Amino acid sequence: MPDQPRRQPGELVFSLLLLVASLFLAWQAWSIAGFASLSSAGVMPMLATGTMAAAGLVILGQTARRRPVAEQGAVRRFLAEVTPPRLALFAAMIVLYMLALEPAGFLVSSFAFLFAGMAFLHRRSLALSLVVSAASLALIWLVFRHVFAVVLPAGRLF
Amino acid sequence: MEQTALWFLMAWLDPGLLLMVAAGTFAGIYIGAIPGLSVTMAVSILISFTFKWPVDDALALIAGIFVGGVYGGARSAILLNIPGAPSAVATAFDGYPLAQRGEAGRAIGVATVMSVVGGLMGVLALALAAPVIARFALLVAPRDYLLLAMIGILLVGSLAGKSLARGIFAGALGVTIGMVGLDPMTAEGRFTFGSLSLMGGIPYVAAMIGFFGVAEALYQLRHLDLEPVKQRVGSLLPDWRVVKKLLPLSLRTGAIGVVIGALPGTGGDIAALMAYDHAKRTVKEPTSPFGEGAYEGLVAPESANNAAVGGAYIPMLTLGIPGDAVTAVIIGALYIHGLKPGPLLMVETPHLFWFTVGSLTLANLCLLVFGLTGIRIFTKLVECPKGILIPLILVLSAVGTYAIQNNPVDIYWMLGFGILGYFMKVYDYPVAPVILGVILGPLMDVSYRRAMISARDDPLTFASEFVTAPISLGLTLFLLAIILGQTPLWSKLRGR
Amino acid sequence: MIRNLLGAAAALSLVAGVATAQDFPEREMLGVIMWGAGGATDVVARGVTPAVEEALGKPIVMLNKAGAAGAISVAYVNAAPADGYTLLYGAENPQLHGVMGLSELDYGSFYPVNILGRGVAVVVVQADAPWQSFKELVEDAQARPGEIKMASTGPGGLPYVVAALLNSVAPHEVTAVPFDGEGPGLTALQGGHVDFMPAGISAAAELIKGGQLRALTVVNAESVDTFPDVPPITDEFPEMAKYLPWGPFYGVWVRDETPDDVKAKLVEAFRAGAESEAFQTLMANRGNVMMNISGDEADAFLDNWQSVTTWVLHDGGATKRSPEEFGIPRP
Repeated sequence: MPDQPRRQPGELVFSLLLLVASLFLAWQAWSIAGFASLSSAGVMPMLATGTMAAAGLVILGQTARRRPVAEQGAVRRFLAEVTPPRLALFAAMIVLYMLALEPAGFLVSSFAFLFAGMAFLHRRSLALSLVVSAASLALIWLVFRHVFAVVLPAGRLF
Repeated sequence: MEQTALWFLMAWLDPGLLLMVAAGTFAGIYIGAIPGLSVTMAVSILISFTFKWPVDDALALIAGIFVGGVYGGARSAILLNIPGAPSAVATAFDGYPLAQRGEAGRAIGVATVMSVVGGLMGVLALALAAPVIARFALLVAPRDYLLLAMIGILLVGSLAGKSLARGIFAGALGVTIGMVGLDPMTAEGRFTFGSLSLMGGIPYVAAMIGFFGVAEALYQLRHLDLEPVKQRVGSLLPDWRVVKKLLPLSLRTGAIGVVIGALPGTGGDIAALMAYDHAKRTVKEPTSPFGEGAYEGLVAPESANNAAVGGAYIPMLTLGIPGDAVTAVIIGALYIHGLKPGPLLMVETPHLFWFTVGSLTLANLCLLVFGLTGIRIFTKLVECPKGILIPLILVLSAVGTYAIQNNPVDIYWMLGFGILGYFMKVYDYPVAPVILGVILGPLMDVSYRRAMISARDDPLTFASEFVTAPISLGLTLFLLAIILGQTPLWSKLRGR
Repeated sequence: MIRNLLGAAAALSLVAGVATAQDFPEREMLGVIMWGAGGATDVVARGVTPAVEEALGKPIVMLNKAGAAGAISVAYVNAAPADGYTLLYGAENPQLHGVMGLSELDYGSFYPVNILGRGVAVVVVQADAPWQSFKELVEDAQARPGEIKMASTGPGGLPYVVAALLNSVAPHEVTAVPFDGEGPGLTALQGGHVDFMPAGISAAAELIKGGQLRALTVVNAESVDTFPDVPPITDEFPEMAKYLPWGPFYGVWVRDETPDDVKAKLVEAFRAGAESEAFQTLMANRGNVMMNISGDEADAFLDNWQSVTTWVLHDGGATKRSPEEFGIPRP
């Protein structure tokens, strides 16, 4: 099979994880109502998770048969290609931001994230990052909080 | 007759009402474009806001917002790959590749014109055939909804890309996500792990923003230093030849939109998906392959979801039955304004029907104007450096997800789906079928079970009902034809 | 140390309590609606609020927080500060959450600011259905067990409870097909996909007047103003009288720990809101019975409703947990 796509680093582990998750969910689906009746709450969940598990098994088989991109250093390549440092760091910033939303409040955490994110990714002008963050945040706040009366997390300070 | 014309022209001749429709349409475009702000939400807020207004003003404003909002979702779908509303999910499939090719301006232009074509078809159906379509909508049984959902879910096959198994996996994952929460029929917990915050389910906007918006933002971080695509903005009006070529498709999918919109159990989101499916099945030579920036794939969902607006008004005005979530809120608004929506609404307040038809027509014309202006500024958004755009997209995703039901847990879901979606993109799993599953899964679940309970859990009765009722028989045959058409056996036979 | 802190916190909250009592409300309030936009509860909530805002002088931001039959909203309001700034707009559902195994919280933890009104149930069939009276329908159901299809809205919903009440008086068997709410159920009934439905008058009234549906009986001890010609259920099933009046109800609650003078201000404002002409018209148009009660009177109503409904459901085998576990007395 010459035109078979090569296996990406980490792909095999990912398909295995998906299969395990599908099997766990399938077990959960079964425990909703078992095979009690043809119209129980568990029928569609079992069908969906069963399909996931079956497809997951096929995918795992297909992935295992593909030749890896490189024989050596899969972990190193995974870190370099799938989760490069910049992406991993930025993802960590996102997680921090969303965790901080409630305790720190929407305005503080969003401003910190916007400014830090732009400074980290754009790396040109700090002043521009500052102005864009403040202006866009003010706009979002106005539209969501005042026009649409969405009660955004207030935090302890603001 | 003269009276009818006067009612129809009410919103056109009164400057106050004209302003309401225009302002509503304009605001609606932006409400629709921002993920998390929905037309349903805007209309609910307007109810308290317009409480003391005359009912006509309130209805004119709502009609404008409805028409603008359904269209607005397309803008963010095309420019950022984040559908601003569930009805714009299918628009992203081909709209975003077009923007990446530098044709965002032209894509928005075509989408606008075809939205208006679809929207006017919806209004026309409302004006001419409302009672007939409403009667027909009543006859659609739970098993027919099941068949419709199954026809829609077959779209997984064409969205799957290189590997069918991966597409099926993604679709089933979406259905599973749609099942989370208390079962609407028995109140049993499904995948809730005893947690109250899971009992309410995962709103599909959270999944949509996560799998499309956040995953895409993360994916683009890998190529941050690429220069943003320069957008070619030519003439604002799309080329007449292009429009002429796409018009038949637009009319066909508009018809799909009217019917699906008029059915009380389905709305613009499902209409758009079915229209995309129809386009992919019937158009043999698209401008580009589907999924890589075919104008046909853009036109179909956009015509359908705007046609569904007129469709949704059909059962609402004739029978007092909401055609979708927005018209359900409008019915509430009518009650609060002292009216009594129901079969007698047209008898007790006769002007309401033609007034609504008139405002909807006007709103579609406003849409044509507002939709074709400001395209230049919008397309600049794509040219904005990614280092600035990506943090903004994430903040907007977070606040939009939060706004759906003020639940911080939804933000964590969105983030989780974003990260999962990123890995799926890296490893060549299509993410579109997930959203398809989230939207269609719950409809499949409840309609299957309703049909099965009606058959008293007897598989034979259940099966026989699919061929005895005329509507069901038609849909069953259609479903079988699609399945046969997709299997290799059929193509082999045809090849000979 | 901790004790001291708690003491200080309690003292502070007392001070805060005094402050709020005098100037309440100082800022906008949040109204949490336990059902989605456009539903019966939503319409009642949004209908009464403008007049209440006027009486209080501050806006109430409305938020639909549907899910888990209202349990999510109840938990949300219960977790908010007991300062009267977070209101719960709800329907009858939380009174059943315990026995349905959904949540331990019911209206016992809340103070009824106002029970605005209650709905009356009506049994409807298609206009050309063969049954001329409700008794005929029930007898037909007894003769052909399970063959007649009833539209329901899930366990604990109105059709379900009405069927359970009737079943304890006249045992019969029908197939209950659950829909997402009264509206979709009535739609299916018009399409002929089910045979009958017990529904709130508010949802069915216009369809009956328009001739799409026919009312066989009202689930009430006497006939109602909206439909004076439709016989009350007690005409054919006199034993039902012991459960009546029964029906869904709509109201506004705050946490029980809210300072008394704040409660008083809210009670006053909502009473004024309920008496406003616009709201009275709205309720009449929807066929609801105005109640406009609060405090002890409302609590007595809530307790009685819960006791009647949970025990009937329990005796019919439709509950997950016994009302006894929650100390609900038998009626």
